[in-house]
Amino acid sequence: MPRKKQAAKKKSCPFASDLSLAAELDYKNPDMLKRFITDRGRIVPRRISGVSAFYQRKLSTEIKRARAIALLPYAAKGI
Amino acid sequence: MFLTKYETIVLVSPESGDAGVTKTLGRIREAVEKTGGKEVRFEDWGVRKLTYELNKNKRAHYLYLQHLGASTTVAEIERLMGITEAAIKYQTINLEERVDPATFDFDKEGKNVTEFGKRAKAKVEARREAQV
Repeated sequence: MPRKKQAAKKKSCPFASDLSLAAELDYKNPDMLKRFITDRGRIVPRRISGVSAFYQRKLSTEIKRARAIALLPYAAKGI
Repeated sequence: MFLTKYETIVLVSPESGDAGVTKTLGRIREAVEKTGGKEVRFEDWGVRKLTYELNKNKRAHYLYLQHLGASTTVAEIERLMGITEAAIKYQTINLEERVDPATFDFDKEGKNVTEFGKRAKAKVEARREAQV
């Protein structure tokens, strides 16, 4: 019997639902940004993290700024 | 006349020691002053571990300076950092455009220390207390 597809639960944006977190969105705060990069250093796509388009744009700029001054790693190559 | 609010972060090689840090900081301040800018706040973040190697350095001394200035200020800082051997990397970010220095609240902004600045200061104080 074919299993019924479960309706995906709607993810809510962590920044839009918590404005104090949005205020912390800064490249000088790498510990917070680490939540939004994978263990290999790549930026987590928003379809996974649920971040809204507005905040994902800001998030990616801040992550890139942090990378430039070695507060966050660039994506690891290989393997 | 309107100015722009910038923040500059410079990574200084730890091998160059205190002399390198003072020299680099002196050059940034010189650039800000020479081009008609104004210093808002300086923070010494101390030596931090880098997430990737830079010029074979695994650690670097981070200097943070927030200042008002014009585009020429940034150009001058970048020119000077390029010829300062101790400086490994630098980054300037535009924080706010069209700031009026006459109405700018230097005291308030000067106290607005970043988390890194607070942590580094606490560390230095703890070390000083341990010595006493």
